[in-house]
Amino acid sequence: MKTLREVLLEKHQAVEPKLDTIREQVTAGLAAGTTDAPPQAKEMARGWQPDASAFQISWRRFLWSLRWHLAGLSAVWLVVLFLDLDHTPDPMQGVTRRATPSPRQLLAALRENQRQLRELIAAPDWEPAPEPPKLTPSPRSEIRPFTNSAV
Amino acid sequence: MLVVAEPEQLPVPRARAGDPAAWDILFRRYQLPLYVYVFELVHDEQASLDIVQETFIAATRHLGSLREDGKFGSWMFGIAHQKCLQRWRKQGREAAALEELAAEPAESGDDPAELVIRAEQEAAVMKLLNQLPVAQRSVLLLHFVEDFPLEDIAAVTGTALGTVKSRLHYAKKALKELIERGES
Repeated sequence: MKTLREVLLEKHQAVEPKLDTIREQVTAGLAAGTTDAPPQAKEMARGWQPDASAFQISWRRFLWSLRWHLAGLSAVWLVVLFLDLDHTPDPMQGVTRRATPSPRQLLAALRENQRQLRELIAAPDWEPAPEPPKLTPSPRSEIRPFTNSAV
Repeated sequence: MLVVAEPEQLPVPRARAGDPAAWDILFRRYQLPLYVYVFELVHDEQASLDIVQETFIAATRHLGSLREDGKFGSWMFGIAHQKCLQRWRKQGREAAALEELAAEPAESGDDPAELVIRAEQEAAVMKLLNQLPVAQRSVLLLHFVEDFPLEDIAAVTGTALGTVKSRLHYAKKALKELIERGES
């Protein structure tokens, strides 16, 4: 006659060597320090700043509750930044562009300067317009003035 | 060979200080009962060994959360129980495994040693044990394998005391019926 406990333990007795291996691995890891430090040591370490851990927890909870709001705001700011970069010319870029014109623009400016100089220095090379004929005013009427010779 | 020690003799304070030899004694004491409990719930040898190993590692990491040294055993079984639940959760079996039963008072004067099984009944008892719902099986194993008080079983399984009593009542009733049928 056996109790249920004895029946169960006997049924699984064959697995004991495997369990021994597991136990030895875990305790060896503990001895080598590959598993975490003992909880007491952890608590001692935590004891240095108990308020900080509580503060961190509450701060994390607060941020976690605002996660969707923060994500939305971040997305909006990213869009704004993208649009701003895309459409607004950089003022410094404009200055450099103005400071260094292209060779074609330089050539055109030189030609324009030369033309203006030629206009100022040299005589005009075109013929002067003919003087308009001098007009003698015609008598105001057909009535001849009275003279003594006609008599 | 199973080493049985009374809870008060277990070197829990030394384990708290990180003494590997103390951990070895504790693990040696509970390794087979833990394995039996886990195996009878998940029915997979490799998974059960993995859960026992995870339980050992979790115990070394979280011993600081244990308030009473005398509750070390039920605390370890509680970790193993949670590991089983995690496994079922991954497999999507949690709802079926944790079905609730109607609460009924337990029979008074229950003793794990009272239920004796003859050699020819062993196979039938094990078969019945596997046929029980997981929730009843869990309570029955904790009661018979480690003789935990009902309050500790409630803590291990994360259920109300009334629920534990009810589950234990139904499970024992079913086992007794089977044994009596065998005797007659």
